[in-house]
Amino acid sequence: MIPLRSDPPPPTADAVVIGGGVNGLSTAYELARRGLRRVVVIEQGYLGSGSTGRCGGGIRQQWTTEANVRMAQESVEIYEELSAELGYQTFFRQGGYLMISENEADRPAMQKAVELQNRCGAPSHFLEPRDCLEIVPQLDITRVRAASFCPKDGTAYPFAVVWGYARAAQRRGVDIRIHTRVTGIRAEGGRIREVVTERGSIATPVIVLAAGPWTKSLAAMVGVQLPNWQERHEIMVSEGIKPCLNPMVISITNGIYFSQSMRGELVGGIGDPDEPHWTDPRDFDTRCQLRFAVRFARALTAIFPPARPLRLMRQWAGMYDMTPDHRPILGGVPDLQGYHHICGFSGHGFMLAPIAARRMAKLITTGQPDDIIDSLRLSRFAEGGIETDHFVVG
Amino acid sequence: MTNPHECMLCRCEDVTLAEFRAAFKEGFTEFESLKRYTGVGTGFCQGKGCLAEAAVELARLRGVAPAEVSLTNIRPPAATLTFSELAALPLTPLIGDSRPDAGDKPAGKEAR
Repeated sequence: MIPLRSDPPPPTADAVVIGGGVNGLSTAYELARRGLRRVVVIEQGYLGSGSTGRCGGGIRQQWTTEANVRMAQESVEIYEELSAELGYQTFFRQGGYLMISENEADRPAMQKAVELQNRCGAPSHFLEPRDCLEIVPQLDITRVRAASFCPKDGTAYPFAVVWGYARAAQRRGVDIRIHTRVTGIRAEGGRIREVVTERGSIATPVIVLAAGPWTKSLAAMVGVQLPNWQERHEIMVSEGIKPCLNPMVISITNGIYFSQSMRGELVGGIGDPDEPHWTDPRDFDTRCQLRFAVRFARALTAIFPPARPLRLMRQWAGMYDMTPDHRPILGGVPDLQGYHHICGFSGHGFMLAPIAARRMAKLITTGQPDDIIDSLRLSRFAEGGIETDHFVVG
Repeated sequence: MTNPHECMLCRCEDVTLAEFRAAFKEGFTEFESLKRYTGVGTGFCQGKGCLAEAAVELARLRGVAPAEVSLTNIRPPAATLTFSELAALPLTPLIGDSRPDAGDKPAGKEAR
């Protein structure tokens, strides 16, 4: 990697991407790959210091809405080749995702979801509880009522993906500035004109807001109102043990998910329905809580008994950028030329970034309509009839 | 002087001094990124045996005083507990949640 700079950014650019996480860096890389010459990325901290670097690294195709399944499936195809494409080891590994439910009532929904996934080309299948033991023999299936498994789902190391995209973007001329905060965005005559940072301004006709939980406040700078809210989610790693768990296990009942990293650690989290909804970055609070450790430990020891004597080694928190239908918001807005956002992934930005970025870069550089981006446009919320994805857990 | 290829900076994660220096040269010039790239401080001792040494080395590489190097966030738990032990603890309320029924008992000292 070319050493990253924090000195004043260039005065002009063809496009400015705000956010140095997986979505911003992959978008910058894809824009440069499509021939945009002067792309600048502005990151307020270090690369991956926002939501990307806090995430669990899971990549799954098991969703209940077509846009999410198709995007995830295309993302997996990119992830399968990404280490080679970027010339960087991303530690992508397809151990599969085992989704379980403790509710009998979820069986038809899971079967229907599998049908949708298969129709879109994802090789998932429905499982009876006892079949889970063939995939994770140590699982306590006493309370499991339904399950599904997709062997092509997997995990990657979020920081490696970030660094790989950053290096590949740099090789194509992308200028990355870290520890640089955006203080304003100027639009005039219905067009984006300038991004103002604490270290200087950049005149640009194109901006891409890819700042995860900070996107809402950036969009507000040019009068775009996003319906997003932000939530704290916590995660932990255990001490490392010998490889014993191949897939990611995830429960749609209590929201626990856990996998084993290549270093042998269990990595996992659990959602907390009592967490407040935030909309102002000044309220963001990523302190860790004992409450999380206790809730996670209770759920983990119940479903995966071999974890009982293991030690929790480290825990941390990050932010989900949520939307009312738990699906991302992509594209631009009709009356502001040059404005784009790629946000609202509701906890799943890492797995969907490669394809979201590829499709966004195509839209930005060619103007050709994109059916998935169109289905994830901001105006869907005002138009009504939104379709929520029910498999947003963790 | 010790051969940097044989000098273990982080014993838990097998990071040598030479590897730490190579990572700096590759562009990982701040502690938060060095930690995630090399693994330094992320092993069983969680940095208790290596963070100070690594900070001194980073200061040397950057040509500044050790006090000017920001360290990585120190995260809970201070001492490790097993999942069985954790599962048996009472549930505390969320940070900032003062409702009387928010947990099994009042919140403990908040950790960053």
